[in-house]
Amino acid sequence: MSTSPPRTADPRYTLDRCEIVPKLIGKHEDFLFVTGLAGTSKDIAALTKDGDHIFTMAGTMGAAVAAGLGLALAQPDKRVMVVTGDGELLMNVGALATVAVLNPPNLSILCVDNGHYGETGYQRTHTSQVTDLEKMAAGAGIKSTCTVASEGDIAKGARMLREGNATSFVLLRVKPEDPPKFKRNLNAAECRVRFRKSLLGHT
Amino acid sequence: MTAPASKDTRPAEFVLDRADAVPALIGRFDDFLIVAGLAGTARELKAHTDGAPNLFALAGVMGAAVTMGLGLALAQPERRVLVATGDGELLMNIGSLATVALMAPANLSILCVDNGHYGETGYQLSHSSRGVDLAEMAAGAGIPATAVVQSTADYETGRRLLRAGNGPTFVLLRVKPTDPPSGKFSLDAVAARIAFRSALLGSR
Repeated sequence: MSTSPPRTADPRYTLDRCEIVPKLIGKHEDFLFVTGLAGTSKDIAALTKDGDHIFTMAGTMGAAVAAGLGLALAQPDKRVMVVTGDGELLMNVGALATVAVLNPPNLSILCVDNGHYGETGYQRTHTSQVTDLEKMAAGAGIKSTCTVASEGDIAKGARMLREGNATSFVLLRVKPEDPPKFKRNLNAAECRVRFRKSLLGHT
Repeated sequence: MTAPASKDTRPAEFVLDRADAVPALIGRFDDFLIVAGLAGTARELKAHTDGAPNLFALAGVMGAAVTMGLGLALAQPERRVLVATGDGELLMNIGSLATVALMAPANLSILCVDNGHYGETGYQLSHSSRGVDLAEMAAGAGIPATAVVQSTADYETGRRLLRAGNGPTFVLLRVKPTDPPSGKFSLDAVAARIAFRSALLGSR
């Protein structure tokens, strides 16, 4: 029950996730979503009103990119977007190398980077100190990457998330503030059945 | 059960011979405490150090070499610590480079011997010969000094970086997918741990 450390104001992290995530994604019905831990799960559940085209992996830290990769390979005619956080992605950042090698053109990765472990009390993560996840993604071999850190970057980021010729990676830097308050279904089995049924017509 | 015949499909930058390049880059082995990764680097470092107790070879623990070296460097700030790992081993836990960058021990260097293949399991192509640049990933993780060594002209830079005192540093050495120098060594993990600890600390 330790108290949260103070969140440091960092001029690189100024955007508001509640406002910018919907702007970057645009028409959410165009995508199948796989989301990471609590932060991005809430972002996307709020955006889609807990729609049945979202699969939220609350709790399975590090698995969002790999799950999204599998989905993109299995559903080449659908556009798949992974929405993950900096902490979640760091847990299994090597998955980006496998994404780059397989390079499904229908996969986009949006990393909402607030530089903190929001779910556990806003301890600082590597990204607000030394690590540049866009550079790691480029090093992993992903050809289309960009960082969205100001309003002026949004159009480019939004375009990249919808590019159809290669996997893309967009790093969105936001203030370390809570995602939208939204109560979503936390029953993993129900969510899985709902997602599969909507996608495949059966479970 | 046949492995894909991938030995001849390597990109052109994998030309150096690890048997020459690894000792050329490390120089005097005694100057380092060395943590070696899987069979490839473990075997060659064992051969080069001829059983000296400044080597801790982690044969089998895929992905653990960098974090083990990080802990050793933090615990032994007066000693120079070298992690010798391979591309496959490093890819197994590449996120550990971010923690290395964050903790930033000045006495830690990482040498990744990248042959672009999973040598231990039959030379299947690894990610690093299919577009993954591990030096760029290390730089992205935040390691301030990184270099790629892929010709003898790069040796001097690589050698200097492995001995720089203001680390951590990361050197990617690209080599041909040929077997490392072979030497039989004990695979008894407990004996290896005791030998390393006793030599370093004077007791178990």
